[in-house]
Amino acid sequence: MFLSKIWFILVALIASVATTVALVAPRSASRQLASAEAQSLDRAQYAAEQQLKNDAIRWIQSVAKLGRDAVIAETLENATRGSGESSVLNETIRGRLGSLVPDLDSRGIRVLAAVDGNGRVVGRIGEGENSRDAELVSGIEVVADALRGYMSDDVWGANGKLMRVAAAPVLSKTKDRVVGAIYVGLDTGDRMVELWRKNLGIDVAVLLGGQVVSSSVPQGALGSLADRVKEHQEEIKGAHRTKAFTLPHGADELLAVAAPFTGQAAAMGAHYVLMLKQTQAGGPIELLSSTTKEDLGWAVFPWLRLGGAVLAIIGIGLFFQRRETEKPLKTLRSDVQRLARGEIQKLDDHQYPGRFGAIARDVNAALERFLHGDGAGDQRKDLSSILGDKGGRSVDLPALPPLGSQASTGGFGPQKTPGGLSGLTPGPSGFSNGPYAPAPNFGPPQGAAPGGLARPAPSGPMPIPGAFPSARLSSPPMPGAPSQTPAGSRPMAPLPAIPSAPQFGVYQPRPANPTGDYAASYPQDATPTPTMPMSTASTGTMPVARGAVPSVHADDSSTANMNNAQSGGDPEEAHIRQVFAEYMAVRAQTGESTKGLTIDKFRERLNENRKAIVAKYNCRSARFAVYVKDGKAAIRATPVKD
Amino acid sequence: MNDSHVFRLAPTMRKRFLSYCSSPGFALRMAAAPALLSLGLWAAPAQAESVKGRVTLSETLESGRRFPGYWRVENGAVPIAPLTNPDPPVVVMTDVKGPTPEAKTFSVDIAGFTVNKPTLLVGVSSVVEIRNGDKVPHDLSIPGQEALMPLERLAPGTLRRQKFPVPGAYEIRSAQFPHLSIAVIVIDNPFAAACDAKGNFKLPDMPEGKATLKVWAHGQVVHEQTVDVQNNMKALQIDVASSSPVDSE
Repeated sequence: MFLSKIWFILVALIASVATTVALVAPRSASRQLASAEAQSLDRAQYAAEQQLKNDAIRWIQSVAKLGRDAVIAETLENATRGSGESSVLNETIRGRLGSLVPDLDSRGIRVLAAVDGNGRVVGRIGEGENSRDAELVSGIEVVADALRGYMSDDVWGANGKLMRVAAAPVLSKTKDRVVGAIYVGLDTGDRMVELWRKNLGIDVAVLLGGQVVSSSVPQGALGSLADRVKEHQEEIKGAHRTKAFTLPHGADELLAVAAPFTGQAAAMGAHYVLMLKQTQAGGPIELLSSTTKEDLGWAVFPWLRLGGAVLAIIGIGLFFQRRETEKPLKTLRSDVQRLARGEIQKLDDHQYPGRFGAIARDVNAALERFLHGDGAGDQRKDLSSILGDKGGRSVDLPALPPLGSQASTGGFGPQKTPGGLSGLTPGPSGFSNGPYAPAPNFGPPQGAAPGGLARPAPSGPMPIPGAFPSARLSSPPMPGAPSQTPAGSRPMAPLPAIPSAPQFGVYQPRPANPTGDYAASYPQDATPTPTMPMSTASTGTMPVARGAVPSVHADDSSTANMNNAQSGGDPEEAHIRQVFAEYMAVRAQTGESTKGLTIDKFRERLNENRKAIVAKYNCRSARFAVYVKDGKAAIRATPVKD
Repeated sequence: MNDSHVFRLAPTMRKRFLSYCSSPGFALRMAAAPALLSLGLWAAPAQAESVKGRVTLSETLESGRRFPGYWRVENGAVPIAPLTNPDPPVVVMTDVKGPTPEAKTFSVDIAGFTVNKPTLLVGVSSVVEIRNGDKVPHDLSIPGQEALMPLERLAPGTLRRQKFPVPGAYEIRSAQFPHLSIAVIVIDNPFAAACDAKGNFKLPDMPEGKATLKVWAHGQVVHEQTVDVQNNMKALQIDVASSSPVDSE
C-alpha cells in the first residue's frame, strides 16, 4: 500500500502541477502575447515614422526636381520681377506643372503650386487650381523656408483634413538667387491609412483636433480614441509616442500606439494611431479552442511520448495496486475461503502485507472468539458470516432442551454404567487386525503410552481427543473431559458394541470419567459406533491430556471418515454423529447435563432443522457446528448449496 | 598766478573764520553734522541701474521654424537668406515696481499667413486690433484662455479687437495655421524690451533689488531667472538651450 499511496500522491502532484500550469500558463502567455503585440506595434510605429520621413524626403526631392525646370524657373523669375501678365504666368505654371505631373490623384497629390519670390502663388494644380488670385503665402513656414533656400516639409491641418507638404526653392537660371518655390500637398487621409494598413498589416486611424478624420476600422467604434490619446499627451510630448494602450472596440479590445504628426499639425492635435486587435489568451478552454489540426499532427504533437507516459503511469499504478492490494486481497480471499471450507484453521497473517495482515489477524481473533466463546454474547460472530462463506448464511439452531429434562421421557436418562458402558464389548487385542482398520486420515495413535495401552477410539458420540490433530485442540480443557490415565494404570473401558458391525470385535477403550457423568453420555443403545483400532499393547487409557477438548470441526475429514465408518458410509449420519459428539463434549465442558440426550433424538432434531433450512434457503443440505453461546452449548446450522 | 596764493585767505576773512570756528555754534553744528548727513542719505531716492545682457537662443529657436517637419536641408547652390520677419525674443522683468505703462491700442495686420508684429509689449488694459489681410479667414483665439478670447472667425478684410486687462503673456493663434500667432505681453512696469538681431537687450532705470527675469520667444517663456539688480552689475548672458517652455504664472 505504501508504494501505491506514494504513486497516487505523485500522480496527484503531477496532475496538480499540470492543472496549475494549465491555469497559469494562459495568463503568462497572455502577458507575453500582449508584450509581443506591443512590441509589434512599436515596430509598426517605427516603420510608419520611417515611412513618413521617407515620403517627406522623397517629395522634397520631387518638388526640387520640379523647381529645376527651366520654364517654371523663368516664369517665377518673371513673376518675382513683376513682369508679365499674371494670368499668363498662371497659365504657364499650371500647364507646365500639369505636363510634368499629369496624374495627381494616382500619386496622392492634392495640390501642387508654384510661388514667386515675393511669396505669391503664381499658379497651382489640384485643389483651388481655378483660383486666379495671387494668394500671398509667404508667411507659411515651409514656403518661407523654401524662399530662404531651404528644402523642407510640413504637415498642415485645415478644414478637417491633413495634408503633408513638401517645398523646395526655385532658383534662377543663373543659380544665384531664389526666384520662387514649389510646394506639394499630399493626401494624408484614407489613402495613407489604406496604404499603411496594407504595408504594416495593422489598423490605422488619423486624428485631428480630437476627431477621427480617417480610419481603417469603423470610426463609430473609436469614439474614445481621442480621449485615450489625450490622456497620453505628456507621454507624447516626452517620447513623441505612447506606449501601447488598450482601446475598447466592441466586444474586443484593441492595442494601440499613438504618435504625433510633425509640423504645424502637431499643434493641432494631429496624431496617427496604429491599432492591433488584442489576442485574448483567456483560459485553457480558449487556448484549446484555438487549436488547429496541424497542432495535433503526428509531426508536431508527441503522441507516442504522451501515450507512452500515460500508459507508464497507468501501468505503474496498476502494478502497485496489484502488488499491494489485489494480490494480497486475492490471497486473503482464497485463504478465507479455505478457512471457510475448513482446509485451514486460521489465517497466516504474516504472509499478508500491511492492513491485510491486520485483517487476517482480526479474522483470526474473531475466529478464536467464535470458537472459544470467550467473548460476550453480543460480540460473538457467526463464523460463516465472518468468513464470508459462499453458503451465505448460517442459522443458530434453537438450543436443544435440557437433556436432563428429556431423559425421563425421551429415553435420555442417565445410564450409569460403572466401569464402562454397557454393551461395549471388549474387542480383540489386535485392532489392526480387525476388519475396521483405522482410516488413513486418522493417523497413527498419538500419545500412546509406552505401556502399549491403546488410545480410545474416536467413536461418534464420544469425543475422542486422539481423533483430532493436536493442533486443533485449542479449546480450554473441558471439565468433563476424560482425564489422562497413567499408562498402564487402568485398562480402557470397553466401547459399546456396534450392532451393525458386531464383527468388529475391536476393543474400544473408554476414557476415564471421574464424575461418572461422562459415561452417561454414552447411551447403551448408542448407535453403532465404529471403534478405533487400537493397539493391544496399549493400556487402554486415554493418552490425551485431561481436559483437552477437541475442537471438532464439522468438516474434519478424519472425523468424517470415522463417522462414515460408524454410519455405514452415510455422510449425513456421520456428520450428525460428529456433531452429537461435539455437542456432548461441549455440554460437558460447559457443565451442562447430558443426561437423557440420545443420538436418536439428536438426529431427529437436526434432521428437522436441516429440512427447515433446506426449505428456507433452498439449499442442498445443512451443516451443523457446535459452539458455546452464553456459556451453553449451542448448535449452528449453515446451509450448504454446493 | 602762483600756487601759494591760491589758498591764501584775506587777513580779515581769516580772522572771521577762526572766530567762527571757536564759537559755541560751530561746535554744535559740527556735532549734529553726522546725524544730518545720515538723515540726508536715508531720505534720498534709490539709484536707478541698467540691466544689460544677451540672449542666445538654441538653434531650433533661431531657425525661424516654430513647427519643423522631418527635413530641412539647404539647396546646395544659393546661400540661405535671413529671415524677413524676425521675431526676436523679449526680456521682461517682473516682481519689480515701476510706473505702469500707458494703455494703448496696437494694430496687427495679417498678410501672407503671417503677422507684421509677432510680439507686442503692451500696458495693462491695452487693446490689440487684428486685421485680416489674407484672402482666407482665420479662426483666432488664445488657446487655453478661451474665456478671455474665444475662438472666433476673422473674415478676410475684417478687424477684431481684443483688450488685455490683466498683466501676463498671451498668445493669439490661428486654429488652421498655428504658426500664425501674436504674442501679447501685458506688463505693469516699464522694464521689458525686445532683443535686437544679436540678442542684446537693455533695461534702463531699474531699481536696485531682486527681480525675476523672463525670456519670451516663439510664443512661450523659454527662460526664467532671479536677478539681483545692483550698481555696476555685469551684463547677463542668458543661454536658452532648449525650446522647452518654462512654467510661468
